[in-house]
Amino acid sequence: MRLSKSKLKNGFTVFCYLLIVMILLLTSSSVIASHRTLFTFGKVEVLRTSDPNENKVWVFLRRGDFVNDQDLVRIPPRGLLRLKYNDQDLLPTLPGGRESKVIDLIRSGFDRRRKSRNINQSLSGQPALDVLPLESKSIPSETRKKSKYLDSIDQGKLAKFRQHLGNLPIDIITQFPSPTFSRSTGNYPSHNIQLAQLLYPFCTKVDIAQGVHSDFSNLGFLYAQLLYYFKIPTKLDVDQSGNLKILFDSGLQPDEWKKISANTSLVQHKSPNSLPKDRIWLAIQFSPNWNFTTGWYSASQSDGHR
Amino acid sequence: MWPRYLYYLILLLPTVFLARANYLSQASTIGKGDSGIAVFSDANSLKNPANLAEYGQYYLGFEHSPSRLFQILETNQLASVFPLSDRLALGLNWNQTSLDDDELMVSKNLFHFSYSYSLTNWFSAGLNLKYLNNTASLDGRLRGSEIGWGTDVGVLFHVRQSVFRANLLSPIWLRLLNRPQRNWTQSKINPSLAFGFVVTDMLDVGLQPNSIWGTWIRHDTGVVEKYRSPKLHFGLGYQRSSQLQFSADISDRLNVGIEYQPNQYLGLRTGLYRQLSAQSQLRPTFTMGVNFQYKTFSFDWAYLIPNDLPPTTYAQFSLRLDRRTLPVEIEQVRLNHLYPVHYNFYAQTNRFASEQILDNPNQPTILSLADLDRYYPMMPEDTIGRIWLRNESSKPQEVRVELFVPEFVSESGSEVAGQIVVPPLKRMSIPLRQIVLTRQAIQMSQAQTVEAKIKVTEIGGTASRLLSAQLVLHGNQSTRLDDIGKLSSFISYDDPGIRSFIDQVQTAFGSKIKSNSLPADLSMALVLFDTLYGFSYTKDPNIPFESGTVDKIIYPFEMLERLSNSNTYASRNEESDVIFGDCDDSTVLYCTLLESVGIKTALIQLPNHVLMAFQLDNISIEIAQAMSLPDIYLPINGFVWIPIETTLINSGFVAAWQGALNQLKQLEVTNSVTVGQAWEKYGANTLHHSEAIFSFDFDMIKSRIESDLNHYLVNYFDQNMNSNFNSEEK
Repeated sequence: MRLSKSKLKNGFTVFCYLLIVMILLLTSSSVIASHRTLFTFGKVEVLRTSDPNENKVWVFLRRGDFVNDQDLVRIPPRGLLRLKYNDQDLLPTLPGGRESKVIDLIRSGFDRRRKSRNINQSLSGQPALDVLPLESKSIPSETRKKSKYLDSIDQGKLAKFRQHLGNLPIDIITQFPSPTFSRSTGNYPSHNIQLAQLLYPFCTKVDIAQGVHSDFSNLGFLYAQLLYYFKIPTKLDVDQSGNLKILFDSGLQPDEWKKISANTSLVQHKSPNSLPKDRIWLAIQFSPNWNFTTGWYSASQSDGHR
Repeated sequence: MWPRYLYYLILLLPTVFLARANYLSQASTIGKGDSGIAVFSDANSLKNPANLAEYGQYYLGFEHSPSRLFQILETNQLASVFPLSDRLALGLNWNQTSLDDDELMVSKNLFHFSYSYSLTNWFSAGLNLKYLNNTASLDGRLRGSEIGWGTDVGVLFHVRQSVFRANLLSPIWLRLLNRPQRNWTQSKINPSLAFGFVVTDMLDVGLQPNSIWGTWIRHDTGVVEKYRSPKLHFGLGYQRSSQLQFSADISDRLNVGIEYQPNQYLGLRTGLYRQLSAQSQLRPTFTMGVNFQYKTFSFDWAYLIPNDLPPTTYAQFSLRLDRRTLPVEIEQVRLNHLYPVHYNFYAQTNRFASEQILDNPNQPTILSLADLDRYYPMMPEDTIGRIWLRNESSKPQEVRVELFVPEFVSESGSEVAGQIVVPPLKRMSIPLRQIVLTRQAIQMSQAQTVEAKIKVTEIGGTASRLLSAQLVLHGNQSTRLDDIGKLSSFISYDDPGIRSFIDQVQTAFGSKIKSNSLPADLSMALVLFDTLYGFSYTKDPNIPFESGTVDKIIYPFEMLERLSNSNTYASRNEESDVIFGDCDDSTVLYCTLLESVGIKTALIQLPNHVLMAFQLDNISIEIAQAMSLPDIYLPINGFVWIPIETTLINSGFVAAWQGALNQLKQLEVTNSVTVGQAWEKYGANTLHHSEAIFSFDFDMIKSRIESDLNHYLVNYFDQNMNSNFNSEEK
């Protein structure tokens, strides 16, 4: 049986198409940069945006795991993360207290390496200083201090705050640009948390703070007012030290807690009984020298690296 | 009439053979398919006179064909090269081919006078002046002779490594791979490319007034005839690395060859060539060759398998003499103090330190130590040291740097920087990237200042410069503790002395380990910790040094021996010394014990203090959360680790655990690394000790173990053992 010329030609065309598809697949797979996790200290979490599963959940990052540029990584305030860029270049150790895309972490790692280029680097890529200088052991009494902006408030002031939660002055509102969501973070599991993250840095600006201090003397309260203003159910409470604790509705149900964090201490906390139980309420503390992640960890039961 | 025909036959016969054999080549070239117009470091001016200027060495070679040329002709060749400067070289070559039997004698002599000049770093030109003398005799009577003059002209373009790397290759592949450019000079073994043109028999030198082209000969009869017409040859050379190079020539025939040098003593060659004319349907001529080199002596052997003639063997013996002084001067060498316990770290190439080409072309005057630091500053990235070189020539010089320290590095030296290209008339500082220390250096217990000789040698040549410097080698208990990971160099996992201690602990307290329902790692760690009862904490006798601190670490085996002796004295009610240890000593000791039983450990750096942690089986954080474990553990690499404050040995395992937790709540962790990762950089300790018998305070240890086992902190793991406890498979 002989094959006709047209069949041969069609076969050749199909072969060429397959070849092109294979090359494209190989090329595209090589373009996605994978970075190896070399070391994690603390409960470092990752939200894999490249995961085709729609129910994206946070998982703990382990040594040897690969992360992609667009994955979100959350490092506890006193956690550490060491990555190998493209599984080749050792990046300096990235300190914690942040939630950001891997590509941003890598950029900051390269910045850090460039700035410390003239300083001898230790195994972790950190500037090498003497670990144990002349005096071998002299442990400071306490180096981890609460932010100076966390002032204790009494029950009377708390009641006043609760009363004025919805009274955000118009002159302050006008100072805030409308929060915008970037396309890359559009698939963040919780809209409320994402909005709360975006609003947090607005309140850390000094010019706004000056206008608020005179009337309310607490930037945390301003932050709570903003959350409330942007339609996020918000409550106010105080922690054991008497510091203001802001509680807001994550918009997710209790069985969806892994969409918020793999770390149970971030989503489970002692909250007032008055809060609706069908939602996960998150606690956060505010300080102008913190970011959202640090404020979140600070209000949770976690002690910094957990 | 027959003598006349015989005479022509006699002259014709060798010519036919000689034309086929291309007899002008040398054995080193024939082995590579007789390709050699654009090769690297070649003393063969016959292929391309421009090659000689790049060769740069005195050369004398003698070649003979033991098998006779095609089993008929005698052939001998003498070749020499005389470099007059780093740009100019002269060559003289005599080639004789003869047929000698009882009656007939034909002799053909060819002399080449070569002139080669390197005009720029990438361009050389050369000229061969040729003198030809043929004679033929029969029964001792001269039957005819001829003489001739001719010229060859050649040029060679060399795209050097640095140009090739910096301007052509790097940006392309860097862009393609989207990688940041490294600031250190990567391996200098980068591709080099050369190409050349040669016009053979180009100009007549006066035999034929009517024509200036070609080589002409004059017979003894007075007849002048054209011997050869001008011919253009093109050659290409590609050096993939210092071990591998390809070459190809093309004219009326194609020559292709390859040479592989697995080491400095041996070279292997092969190649082929064939005529390109349409009439030629013959198979190619195959060649192969081998080269042996020892110091200045070299032996080349080539085997030629023509398509229509018998195979021929060529043998060449040559002598290379490099009487030149290396035009690269060693201005300064500065060596850091070395701590041999980190031998693994020094043996790895330091990729972070970078070479620097200095702007100031003049050597500065050093009057004080401040001048030294000003003009010859060490970089923070320098681990071993740095050398400053000055290239006094107008050509780039490729050199390597070796360090010789009798007894402490190999007798043949340790290459501390390889394949460095020093630009012409430039000064350059080069980091010493690696050094391989001997076992003797690693076993040194006291610091010692030794004389180190630094040798800078030309790559591909023998010219060198030598300079002495002082090197301080510290004892194997010392380190400069500027990286927590360096402690791993004192931690071993296979010391027989430590193993014997563990075996005795297991024998004595094994029942305590097995009788509980704790995770195996936790039981073992608890018991091992409690058996160390007797150590006391003290500050370290740090030795101030420069801007940092030299720390002395007591080896674990030594600590255990002291402890054992103390227990022995105590059992006899005799007065015993208190066993002191610093936080780093006790951390190293406990990490060694745990790593020796297969428990993974980590070093945790706090401000001015060191803690350790060990991995608790393979309990992941998810499982710990499912068990509702409170904050009594450290999450490292996604798993549960137990932190331990090892200076609290006398307070017991649980107290040390709690002490570590308290510190972790109060203090910032400035750095942390698992011992396994630190070993990858600094290497594990390999100083082994022989097995020993240790004595224990059994009653005290047993009561401590029981107390710790009953503590609520430990019971978190015990209570959950049968319900939620489910460690992941290792």
